[in-house]
Amino acid sequence: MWRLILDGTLQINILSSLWRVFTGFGLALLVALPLGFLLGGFFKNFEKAVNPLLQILSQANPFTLFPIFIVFLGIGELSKITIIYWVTQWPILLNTITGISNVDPVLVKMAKSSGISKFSIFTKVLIPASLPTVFTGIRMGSVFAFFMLIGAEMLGSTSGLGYMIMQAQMVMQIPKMWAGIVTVAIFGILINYLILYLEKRVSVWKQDINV
Amino acid sequence: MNLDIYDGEFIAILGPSGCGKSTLLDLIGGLSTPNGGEVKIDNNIIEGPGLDRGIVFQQYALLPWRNALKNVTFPLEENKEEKDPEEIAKKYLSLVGLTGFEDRYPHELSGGMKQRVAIARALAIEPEILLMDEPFAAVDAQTRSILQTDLIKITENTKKTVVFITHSIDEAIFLADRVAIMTARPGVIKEIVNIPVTREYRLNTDFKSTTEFVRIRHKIWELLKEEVVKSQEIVEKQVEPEKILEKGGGI
Repeated sequence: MWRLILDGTLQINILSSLWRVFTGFGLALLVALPLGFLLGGFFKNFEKAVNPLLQILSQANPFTLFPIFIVFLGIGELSKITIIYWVTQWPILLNTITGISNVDPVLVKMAKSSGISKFSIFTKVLIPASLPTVFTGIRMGSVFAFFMLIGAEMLGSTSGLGYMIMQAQMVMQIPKMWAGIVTVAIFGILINYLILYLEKRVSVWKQDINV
Repeated sequence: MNLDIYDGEFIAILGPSGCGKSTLLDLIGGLSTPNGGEVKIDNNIIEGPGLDRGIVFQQYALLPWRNALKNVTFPLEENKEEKDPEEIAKKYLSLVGLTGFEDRYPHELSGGMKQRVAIARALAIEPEILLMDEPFAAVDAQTRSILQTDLIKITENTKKTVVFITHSIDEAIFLADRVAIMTARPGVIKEIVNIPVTREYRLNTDFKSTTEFVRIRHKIWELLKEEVVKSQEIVEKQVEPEKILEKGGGI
């Protein structure tokens, strides 16, 4: 493993993997969070109408979709990032919608009775109240993103940790393979802890209720 | 239904469950619009929620991510004219006896204290009318009793008009100048009972143990009893036993 670090192979693969995962994950956050907030908060009826469709799309196994993405987007970075984005957005989107819809109606009633504008009800009541559920979605999304990253890299790639593991296995470089596996695991744990930490910071008030 | 509420009075509304007590409060609060008829304050028809009415909900409705102080400032933030919402919030928190608890979060407060915060929040917008929807139903009996006395003091000090929805006859008599009894569905006002007792008397004597109190309670109970029986019949008619079985059939 040290040799891999010294000659830079590991770093290069880590970098290209992280770049993919963060771009895909970031895109998913950018799209799914606002979309979820809007669907759950402002367009309830529309959300109810499209919910079955969302459920079906989210259930479609991404590995079966990967060939479709390759057909349309080629074998380059774009298809990999898109598939990571695709997988990651579902838990974020669905949890955000659930989070917003499950906000205690009495809080909204209270805010309305205080003469507070619709927009402020949204930013001061709905969003903070739904954050714990939203964060669960984000955490699930990050797990899915890593899953998909490695899968996509194993299926068709010339760099990244998934590629490194696959390639090492094919040429029987077992230590290199293990180095890849351990690195992936470490990153998975790190990301999960980072999000858990953020989640705790944001929803201190929820802690005591859950215990 | 027809009900006049006078300036500065404390009126309690009693009625069997499902008769529309909370709906009435929502109407006054401007949270829902009437199917027919109108609700007026000083001859102005209510068209929506407004800062002349503060509502206290049974479930406290505190924002769990804000501390007591920030919960009270919540309705003031929108109001740009308020120079110092925190100053106002502190004033009302002290009025409800919560000085020193400004930094506590709702999960760190007892049920009674949470309801005190909610009362402070409703008062902070300086409404003319305080609407209370079974505010003490979720707290234990002793706390309830203390909150009741404190509420009398607060209404006396702030000279607010209070509309107080409750299930409890004792609570209604102890707090209110007048008790309006509603009929089972369709809910209309059946009778209004005057409680000719000063607030001072309520606070300084054991009003609940007087014969006067017992006499009024008996009178109200007689009025209410038929309605409760009727409302039970309505419920039974609506949900026949077989239907209950059907509903539970999903085990």
